[in-house]
Amino acid sequence: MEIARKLLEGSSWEPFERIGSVLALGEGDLLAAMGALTVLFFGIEFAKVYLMIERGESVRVHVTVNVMTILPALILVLVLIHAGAGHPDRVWINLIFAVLAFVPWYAAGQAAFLARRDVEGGDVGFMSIGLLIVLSTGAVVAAIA
Amino acid sequence: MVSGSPDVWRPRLPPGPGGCGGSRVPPIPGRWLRLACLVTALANCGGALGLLLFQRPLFERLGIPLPLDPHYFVWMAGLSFANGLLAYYVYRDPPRSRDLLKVGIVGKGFFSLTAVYYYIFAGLHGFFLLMGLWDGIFAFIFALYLIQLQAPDLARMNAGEVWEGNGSVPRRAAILFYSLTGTGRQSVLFLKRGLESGGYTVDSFPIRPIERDLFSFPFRSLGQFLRIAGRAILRRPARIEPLRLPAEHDYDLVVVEAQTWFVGVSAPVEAVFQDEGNRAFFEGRDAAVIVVCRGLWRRSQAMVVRHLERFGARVVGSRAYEHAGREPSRLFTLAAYLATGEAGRPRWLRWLLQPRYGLSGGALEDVERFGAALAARRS
Repeated sequence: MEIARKLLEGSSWEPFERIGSVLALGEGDLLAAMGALTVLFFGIEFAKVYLMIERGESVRVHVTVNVMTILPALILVLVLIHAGAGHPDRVWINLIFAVLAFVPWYAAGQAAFLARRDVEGGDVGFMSIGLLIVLSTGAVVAAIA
Repeated sequence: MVSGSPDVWRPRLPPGPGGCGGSRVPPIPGRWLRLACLVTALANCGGALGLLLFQRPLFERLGIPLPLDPHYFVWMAGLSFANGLLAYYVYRDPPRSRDLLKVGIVGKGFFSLTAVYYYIFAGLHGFFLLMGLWDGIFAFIFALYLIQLQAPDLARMNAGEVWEGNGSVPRRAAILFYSLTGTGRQSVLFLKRGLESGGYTVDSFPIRPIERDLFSFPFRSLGQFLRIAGRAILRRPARIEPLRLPAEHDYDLVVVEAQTWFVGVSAPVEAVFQDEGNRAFFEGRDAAVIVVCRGLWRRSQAMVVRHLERFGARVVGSRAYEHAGREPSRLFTLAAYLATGEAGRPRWLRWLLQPRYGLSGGALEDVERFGAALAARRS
């Protein structure tokens, strides 16, 4: 237990804290935040495209792929809540930012066409559902802030 | 795994929907992606050796502070060299190097992200940022190549290829199908027409779930839809009435029609392949797949094709057909249709909905052409 306590006390979470502070969408952090989300959304979309035709018999892969179709929107919901808590005076700017983040999400899906023609691209249908979720969350956060 | 060695039989159909014709962005040719692997292999191996040998004069010239701990730098160069070797092995045999590409994506992606992070937050010299950006570009290239190398048989079939038959003569086809809302049943009629135009005699075998209260349409409640949705996401199997497929039969072609329920093939269709007793019906026969859905067809198609191959069938063609219209109208049309059971309702949402539900007339004609192409395949 003592060893575990010392390990935890000495651990460094600095990179995650830094990224967390960037994703609070403070003034001057929007570009870095958009960059971080772009990388994340590309990673999610490409992983989803890859997993789409792999391991069809696996329930875990299937659930993962289902979650991935809406995961960027769920991430934006968390970002809005985190940013609303960190900067309650910027809730509407944050909401506009979250809506703009759908651009890299869509671009990631379309980028898969660079690999092959028989992919589905960015699913605007599910993105629309995601947009409704994000807008609703943004409105609630704005009301509470 | 592809059944046998496919030879293409013409006529080649036009590329299918679902992105094959939905994007003006042409895919990057495989030979370019392969060449890119060689380029980064040379860069990684050569760059690592160069940094090890000429680090001091190079850093002094560029104004980069020498590393406080030279050992870590040597280890980093060694890892970079190994990454270069990895890229070289991908270049040598791409189809068998998909796992190496995954390692490369993680390695280059991690280096790139940390380089950018430390450049922004810790004042890392721009020289290392350039290396990081280079690795980031190649992580992206590796990811594209990995996706491109997946399932080449599906890519060819979706590009319109129909493959040679197994040499049988009978010219009898069986179509196994399931249809909750009627779209699948309509597509089967057109497929049948196409096969019959090519001289085939066609028998249809509807797949009937035992849980008729659950798998019925129109839905009686939201709970019914949520139960189907939950089971589809969690891949809970459905029980179907015995198909009574004769093991000894003279069908030379078996076509399976399927639809997508939450990304994957519908449970009633999958139930056909969960009964090992049906294996004999498919074994050794030519098989084809059509998927009819709103818009996400890739996983359903791959699942049915692989099930057929597992049952010993020889898949000669596969096509996917999306509902009429564009997103997001298509998704809202699906949701409204499932909720109301009628196309174009509720009326106050008409501006958002497609006037008809299901496949367009053009798509149904494509289905018929697919049937004709299957009938015309060289046996």
